[in-house]
Amino acid sequence: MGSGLASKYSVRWRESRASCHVSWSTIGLATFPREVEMASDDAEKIRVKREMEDNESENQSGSGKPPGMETPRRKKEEDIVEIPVWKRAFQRSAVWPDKDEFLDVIYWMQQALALIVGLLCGVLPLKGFLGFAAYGATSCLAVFWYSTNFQDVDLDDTFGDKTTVLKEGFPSSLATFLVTWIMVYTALHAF
Amino acid sequence: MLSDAILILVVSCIASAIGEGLTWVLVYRTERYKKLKAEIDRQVKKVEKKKKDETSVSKNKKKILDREEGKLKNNNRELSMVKMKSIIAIGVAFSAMLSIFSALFEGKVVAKLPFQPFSLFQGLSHRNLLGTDYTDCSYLFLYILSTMTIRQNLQKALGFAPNRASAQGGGFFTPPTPSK
Repeated sequence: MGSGLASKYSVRWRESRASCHVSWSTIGLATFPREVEMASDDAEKIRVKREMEDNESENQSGSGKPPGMETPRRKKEEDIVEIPVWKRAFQRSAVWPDKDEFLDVIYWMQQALALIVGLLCGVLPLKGFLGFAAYGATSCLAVFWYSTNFQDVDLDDTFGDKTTVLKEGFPSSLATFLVTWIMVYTALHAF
Repeated sequence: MLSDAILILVVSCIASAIGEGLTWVLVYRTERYKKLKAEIDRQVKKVEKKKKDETSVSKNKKKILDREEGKLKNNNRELSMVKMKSIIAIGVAFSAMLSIFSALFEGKVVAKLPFQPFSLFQGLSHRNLLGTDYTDCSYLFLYILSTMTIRQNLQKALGFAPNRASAQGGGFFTPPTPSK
């Protein structure tokens, strides 16, 4: 019974030790030999949990960001991330730890582009299919140029395929383009 | 003609603002929504990270990954249930505006289209308009387009837009996976 009790307490103690790993090492009291063989399956569970934690910590210190972006180790990344997103959007080959941030920048770029192209098509005026072709061409070219040349983001590695960047916010940027085009055209050329 | 078009644009801004405001009051402010959203964001990050290191997938990790995804789907489902109230509120705001418009702009040409819409959209853009000049645009077409634009941008700007990974993770219509 004694050993059962001991193993139960040591399990709870070990679990608490596993969670407050840092505090033990700082106090330097890590006297408990880690590899004490425990017969019960708790040991198995704890080893699996420990293995996952080690993996996660190794993973974090290794390449915490998508491999496609060759940027400095995670530690240095933290002080770079302080730069707000919209400033980084205009920086050449900036650091993008979170791809959602990058997609937000692409989304707003698509919207701005739709507005400008809509304005131009309305003023010229471009009619019929020409307008759609103009919008389609400029938005594709701009998105690809921005992500590959200006920001050096490898599309295949980060998003798995090239079209995610294109599809980002597509229906609403098309709607923005159409509304601007129709409004400007009606204002200037409808009478 | 132009003044009508601008009026429609302004009114669709107001309708979207009302819709988002209602949603904020009904849904986004509630504790349950915030808790759910935070949980989903965390899980999405965890699942994405686990998926990425696909190479060293041991049997255990696969099981854990599946369980995580199951939980994520359930949370998504619950989130869309919570959002159901807001969808209804926006639907009401949208159709209320529509009925006001149809009274005001019935049969009036609101804008001139610089293109000939496909036959599919002609029913929309030429609704109840006399004549066969399909470049005439009725209020419905313009209203739908401007609502599409403004609402999505409003949601994005206010940060209410669902994040991408959970949006693809299946929402209301996927059957609940029993979490193992």
